[in-house]
Amino acid sequence: MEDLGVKVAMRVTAHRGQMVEGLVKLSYSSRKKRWIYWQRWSLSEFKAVEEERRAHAEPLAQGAMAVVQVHPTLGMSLALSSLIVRKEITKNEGVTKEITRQNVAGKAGPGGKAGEPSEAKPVNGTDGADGYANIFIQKPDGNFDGPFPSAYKLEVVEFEVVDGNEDGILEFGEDIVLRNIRVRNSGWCTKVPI
Amino acid sequence: MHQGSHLTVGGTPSPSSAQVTMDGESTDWLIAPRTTHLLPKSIISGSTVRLDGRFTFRAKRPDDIPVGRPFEVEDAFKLRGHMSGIDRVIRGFHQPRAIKLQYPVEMTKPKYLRCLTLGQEAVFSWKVVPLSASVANI
Repeated sequence: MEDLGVKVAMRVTAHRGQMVEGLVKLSYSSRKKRWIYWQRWSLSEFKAVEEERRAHAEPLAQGAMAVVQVHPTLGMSLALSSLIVRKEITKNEGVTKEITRQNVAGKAGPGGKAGEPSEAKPVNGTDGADGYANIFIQKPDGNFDGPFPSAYKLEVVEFEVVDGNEDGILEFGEDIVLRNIRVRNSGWCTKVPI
Repeated sequence: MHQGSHLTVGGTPSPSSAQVTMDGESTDWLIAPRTTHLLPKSIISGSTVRLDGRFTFRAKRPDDIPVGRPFEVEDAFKLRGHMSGIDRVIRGFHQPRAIKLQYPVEMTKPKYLRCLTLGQEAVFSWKVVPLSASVANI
C-alpha cells in the first residue's frame, strides 16, 4: 500500500439543516501522472471539515481504474449517491493522455436524525376589515345613481287621531279619523367627514 | 365649510317607478275604510312627506256588554303599505298604534232601599262620571 498523499479539498456548497453538501476534489500528481476527480458529497451531522486532509488510495497502475477511498479517520461518511466523474491525465514518453471515467455512485447513506420539535407558538391572525356593500340605482337612460350604503325604508312616523265627536274618547260605534299622516324614508343614514 | 364637518349620506330614495299605496287594516274592533292613498314617489332618504288624505275607521259596537264593571277594550290602528311592481306588502311600514275603546261616561251601581212598605216612596240614586271634559254637562 502506497501512501499517495492524495489531497482532499472540500468545498461546502449548501447547508440543509443538519445536512451539508459540497464538492470533494481529490487530486494526485507525480512526476509521470496526475489525476483529479470531483465528487459530490453530503454529510449528515457534519461537525467540521478541514480544508485539506490526507487520504489513502490503492497504488495506481497506468491506465488502471483508480479506486480511491476516503480513509475512515477522516470521520465522515460520504454519501455516494451521485455520479463520480474522474479525469486521469498521463504523460508517457512525451505523449499526454487524458481519460475521463464515470462511475455510478453507490446508494445514499442513512438519513439524519429527526430535528427537534419547533418552539414556535402560532397565534391567530388579526381580523380582517369588515366588508361592505353598496347599492347603485340604474336610471332609465342606463346611467347609475349611487353608491348608497342601504336601501330605502318607508315607515309611518306620525298621524293624528280624531274621534267623531272630538271629545277625546274613542267610543264604540264612532267614526275615528286618522289624518296628517306622515311617512318617512328612514333608510339607514350615516355621517361621513368632509 | 369648517373643519370637522360631516355629510349625512343615507339609503336610496324610494322607487321612482313603482307606486306605493297605503290603506288601513281591519282588526277585532276597528273596521278599516276601503280608501287607498298613493304615496309620493322618490322620497329622498331622511325626508318625511305628509299624506294628502285621511282614513276613517269605524269602531264596532259590542254585542254583549258585561254588567257590573266599566266596559272597555284595547285595539290598535294598523296601516299598511303596498308596492306595485313587486306586488308586496312593505315590511315594517307601520308599528300598530294601540288605542282604547270605551264609553264616554261611567255609571256607578244604583243605590236604593232593599224593601219598601206599602205607600212608601223610594229614591234610587247613582253617580255618572264623565271621562271627558266635553261630556261634563250630561
